[in-house]
Amino acid sequence: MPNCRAVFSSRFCERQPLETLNFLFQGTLAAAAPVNLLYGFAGVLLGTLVGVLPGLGPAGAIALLLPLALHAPPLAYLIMLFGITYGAQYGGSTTSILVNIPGEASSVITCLDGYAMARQGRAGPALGIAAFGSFIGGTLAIFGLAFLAPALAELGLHFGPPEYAALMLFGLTALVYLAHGPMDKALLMALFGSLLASVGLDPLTGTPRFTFGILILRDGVGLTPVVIGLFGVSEVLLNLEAKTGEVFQNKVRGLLPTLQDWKDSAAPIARGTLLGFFIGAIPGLNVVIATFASYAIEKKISKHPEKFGTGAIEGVAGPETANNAASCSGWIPLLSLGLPTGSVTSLIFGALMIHGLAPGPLFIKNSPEVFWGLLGSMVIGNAMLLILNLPLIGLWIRVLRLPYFFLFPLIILFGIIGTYTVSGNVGEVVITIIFGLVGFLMKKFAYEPAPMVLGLVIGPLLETAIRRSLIMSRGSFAVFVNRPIAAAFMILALFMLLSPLLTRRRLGQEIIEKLEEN
Amino acid sequence: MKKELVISTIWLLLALYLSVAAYQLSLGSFGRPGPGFFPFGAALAIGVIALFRLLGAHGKKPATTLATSGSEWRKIVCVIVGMAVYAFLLESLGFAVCTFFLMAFYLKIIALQRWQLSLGFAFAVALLAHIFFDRLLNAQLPRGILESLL
Repeated sequence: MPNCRAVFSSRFCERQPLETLNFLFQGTLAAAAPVNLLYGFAGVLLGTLVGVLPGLGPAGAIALLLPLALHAPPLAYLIMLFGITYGAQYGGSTTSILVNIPGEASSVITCLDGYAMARQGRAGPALGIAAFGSFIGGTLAIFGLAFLAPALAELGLHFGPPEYAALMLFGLTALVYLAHGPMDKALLMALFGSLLASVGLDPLTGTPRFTFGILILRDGVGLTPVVIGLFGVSEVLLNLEAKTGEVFQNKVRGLLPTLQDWKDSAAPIARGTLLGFFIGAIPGLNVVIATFASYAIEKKISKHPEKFGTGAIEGVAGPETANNAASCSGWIPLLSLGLPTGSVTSLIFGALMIHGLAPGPLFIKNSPEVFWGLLGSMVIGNAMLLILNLPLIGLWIRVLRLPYFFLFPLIILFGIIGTYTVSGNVGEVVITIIFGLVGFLMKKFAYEPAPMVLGLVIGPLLETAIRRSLIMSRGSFAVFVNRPIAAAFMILALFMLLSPLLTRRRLGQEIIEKLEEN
Repeated sequence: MKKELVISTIWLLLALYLSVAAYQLSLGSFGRPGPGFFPFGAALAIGVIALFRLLGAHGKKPATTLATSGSEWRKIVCVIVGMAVYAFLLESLGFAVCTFFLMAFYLKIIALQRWQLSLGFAFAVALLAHIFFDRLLNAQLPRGILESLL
C-alpha cells in the first residue's frame, strides 16, 4: 500500500497482527482502570437511556457533558462520550420493539419485525436478539477497527460524488425488498420521502424550497418528528380504532431467544456485522443506511421472505447488529482522517481538541494510549451493555402488560417529548401530529412507511451527490459508469432490481397479489 | 368513485403541483443543476407512477376501508386534538401542567376511566416526567406558569 505509507508512519502500516492484538490488550487494560470503568459505565448507561427515549439522541447528551471536559481525566472523559454513542444504539431498539416508536433513527427498520414480534408475545426474544446482535456486531467491529482502520480510511478517500450517488441508488434498490405490497406503492412513498427531504434550504445554493414562508421548514422536515408520527402516533390511532382492545398477546413466550431463534439469527448477525462495519467506515454515510441495507439483504436471501414484516427474527437480528457495527466503524473517518462526518463526531472532535488531541492520520501514532484505550473501552463497554440490557428485558415485558388505556397516553407523551426536545420548537410537534395522521391514512390504504423513511434519509445525500457529479462531469451522465467503484455499485443496483425477475419469486408473489385484488 | 381512483388522482395532482413548484425554483442545466432539479425529477416520477396506477385502477375492487363507527372516529379525533392543544399551550402553560391535562383528558375522555383514576394517573405522570426529563436529564422543557415553583 504505497499511498498508505505516504499517509501513515511505516511502523503503523507494517504492524503485525499479533502486535495489533497486543495494543488492543494494553488498551483494554488501560480502560479497565477503576476511574475509566466508572466513566465508561456512566457513558453506556446514559447512552442506553437517551437511546430508549425517542428524540433524545447522543448528540444532545454529549453536548450537555462538554463542559465536564475541563475537569475530568482526558481518557476517562472520552471513554464516557464514546460510551454514550454506542450505548444509544443498544437502547434505540427497545421502544421500536415495544411500542413501535424508534428510539433512534437507526432503529426504524426494527419496528417492522420487532413490533410484530412484541404483538405476538415475543418481545423478549426480539429484545434479546437485538442486545446479543448489538454486542456481537459492536465487539467484532472493534477488532475490525483495530486491524483495518488505515486501509478503510484510504478506501473512503476514493469516494467522490459519483461513488456516493451510485451507492445511494444501490441503497434505493433495497425498496424491492422492503416492500410487502406492490412495488409501485413503495416507490411512490420513497419518492415522496425524498421530496420531503428537499424541503428547506437547498444544500448547494441556499435557496429556500417548499418552505411556504414557514420559519421552521427552513431547517427542513426532521427525521425524528416524521418517524415518531408515522410509526408511533399512527399505531396508537390504529389500535384505538380497533375494536378488539387487545393490542399485545397476554401470553409472553419466553424472555430470551430460543435455540431456533439463534439458528435463524446467526447468519444475519454475521452479515449485519460485515455490512454495518463497511458502510459505517465510509465518510458521510448514515448508520440508518446500514440497517436498511441489512434488512434488504436478509429479506432477499431468506427462504421465506413473505414472513418479513410479520415478526421474522432475522429482520431484527441483522439490522440491530449492523447499526452497532456501523456505529463502531463510524469512528474511522474521524480518528484516521480527522473528518467529523456528523453532529456526534463533530462534538467528539471538539472534545478531543479540548484535550489537545488532534484526530487525523497521525492520531494513532501520536496518541496511541488514547486510541487503543478507546478501543479497549469499547470492548468493555459492549460487555457492560449486554449485562445491563439483558436483565431489563423482564422489566420491559412488564410494560407491555399495562392495560392499553394507560400505555397509549404514555406513548403519545414520549413521542411529544422526543420531538419537542430535538429543537425546542412546538412546530416539530405539529409535524409529528401531521405525520401521525398521514401514517394512519397510509396504513388504511396499504402504503408502507419504511420506504418513505428510506427516501427521507437517502434523499439529501443522493441529491447532493448527483448534482455534484453532474457539475464535475459538466453534465455527462457517463460519470456514473466510467469510474470503477461507481460502476460496480451501479451494476449491483441493477442486479438487485432485476434479480427478483430472474428468480421469479417476487414476480410470482405480485401476480398472486394482483389476482387476489381482482 | 373507487378509492384507488381518488388516491391516484390525489397523487397525480400533488405531482403536478410539486413539479410546477420545482420548475419555478429553477432547474438549471445538466452541467449546473439548480435547486429545482432533483425535486422536479422526483415529482415527475411520482406523476408517472400515479398515472399508471390511475389507469390500472379501472375495474378493481377497493381493497381497503376506512373506519366507519362514530366512536372510533371520536377517539382518533380526541387523540389528535389533545396533541394539538398540548402543542399550542406547551410554552405558555409549561410541560408539567400540559402533561397533567393531556393525561387526564386521554384517560377520562378516550379510555372512559373514573375521575379519581384519571386525575391520579395524570398527576403521577406529570410529576415523574418533570423530575425525570426536566431535573435529571435537563431536557430543556418549558416550565410555563410554574416557573417560580419548579
